[in-house]
Amino acid sequence: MNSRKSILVRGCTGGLFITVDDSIGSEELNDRVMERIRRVGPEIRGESIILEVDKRAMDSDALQSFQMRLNQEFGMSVQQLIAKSDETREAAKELRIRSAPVFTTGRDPQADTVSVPYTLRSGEFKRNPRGNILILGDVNPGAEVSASGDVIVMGTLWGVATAGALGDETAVVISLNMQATQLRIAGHYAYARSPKNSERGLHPEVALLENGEIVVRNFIEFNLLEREVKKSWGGLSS
Amino acid sequence: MGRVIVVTSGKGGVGKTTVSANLGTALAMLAHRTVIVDADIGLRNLDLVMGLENRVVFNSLHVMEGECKLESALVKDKRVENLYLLAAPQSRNKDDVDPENMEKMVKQLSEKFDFVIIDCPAGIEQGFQNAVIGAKEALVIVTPEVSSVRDADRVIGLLQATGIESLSYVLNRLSQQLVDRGDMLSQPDVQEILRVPILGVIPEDHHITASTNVGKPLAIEGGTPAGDAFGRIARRVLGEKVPVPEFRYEGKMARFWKWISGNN
Ligand SMILES: Nc1ncnc2c1ncn2[C@@H]1O[C@H](COP(=O)(O)OP(=O)(O)O)[C@@H](O)[C@H]1O
Ligand SMILES: [Mg+2]
Repeated sequence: MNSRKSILVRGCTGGLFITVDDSIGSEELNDRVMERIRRVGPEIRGESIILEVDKRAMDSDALQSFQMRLNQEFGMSVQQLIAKSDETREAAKELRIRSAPVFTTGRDPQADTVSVPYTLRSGEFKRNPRGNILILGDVNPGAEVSASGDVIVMGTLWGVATAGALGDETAVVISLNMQATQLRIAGHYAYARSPKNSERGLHPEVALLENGEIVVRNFIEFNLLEREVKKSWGGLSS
Repeated sequence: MGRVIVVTSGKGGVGKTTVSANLGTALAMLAHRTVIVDADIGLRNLDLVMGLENRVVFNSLHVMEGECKLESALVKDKRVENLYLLAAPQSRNKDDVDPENMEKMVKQLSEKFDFVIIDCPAGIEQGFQNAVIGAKEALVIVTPEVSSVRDADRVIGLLQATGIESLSYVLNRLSQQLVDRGDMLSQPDVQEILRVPILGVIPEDHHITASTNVGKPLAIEGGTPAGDAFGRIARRVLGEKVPVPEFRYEGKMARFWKWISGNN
């Protein structure tokens, strides 16, 4: 297997997503990954990394030396480790690196969800920079809601909603009645839709990024899971 | 103890003074002892609208600062039995009012009257917190304009945070013609946002201008669209079930879109 295929790198908003095939030996791992990152170009300096290693077993020494090389050569660090091996995830835990057995749309399954048990009225602004936000009411015109993760409105969204406020492009805005003045996802903007596309009444919809554009879909028909699979396995290439 | 009702709004000029004067008048005409308090200090004009300007000697600040007795500051309306006015100081600013004194005075009034109607500053102005102190009921005046609804919505949020127990709104200056043409928000449009009970709808009515100019609240005489609306509102305040006029409703999406896009 050649090196082009055994290390996959893609850019995601949080930094670089690097997948390392199990066919790469542990002694060559560091060199090969560094060389691969170097090929991406100088502009990636300082980015953070999500490292995916499949079934590979890494102890904390191996992981630490990888971290150090990354830091020395590129000023980068592994923020999240995707590993199927319990031992590797244990090592990540020791080094305080977030880890999970599978990559789930970049959203942190342990992210806090802040729940707001009322309608946000004009002038009110609620946000959660550390996860999702759930509004148990409407977000009225002139009100604003923002989260680093998903925004869920169990009512009518009239105001402005920002999901993925820190750049998570997989974040979504869900509302029972989508009438938003403006939607923002990871720095992308969308404005109120024209009347012929929008219907009144309870009609749950989800707004998400597709090819750099915010699209709004019927939530019932939209299969979140299917999208996750596509995101994590389909988008990888070097 | 009488009922204390604050009349406020998000933005100015939407009809707080007009509603205060007319609601107070209508309640008095239904044989309830009523005082209307002008708490919009500096913008004092309730006495004008009620045609009592020349009879004001003392105002509420005199009462609060102990310069006169409450009784001597109350101006009795000679046209309507049971109706009194307590004027606002015009020259002082809103910070002069001590919240504790205000609360004390309102309490005193509520012991003497069945209804204490307080004409407040707009909700985002200074002095609003003072004016609503001691009240359990609030009436938010809103006109069918996007900016008015937004600001009313904000004030409703503020009021809900102050411990007001009962909150409703009055939709003022509705023109059915404009609604039908799709040029004005309808009552359901406004209701959809505010989602608190509506106490009444007052149509746009040129009689208001004339009544303001001569200082005679429309509610004193029937026969005008707005004057009759005030009468209905007063009866609803008293707990009677008087239906709110239903409006024909079409072209909703077109209007909604205009409304939304007008704001971007
Ligand atoms: N229903 C109405 N129809 C026509 N004019 C009105 C109506 N309500 C209020 N107005 C006019 O609007 C202006 C502002 O009303 P006012 O009661 O002084 O507002 P506020 O006390 O909220 O500042 C006044 O000139 C008044 O005559
Ligand atoms: Mg006024």
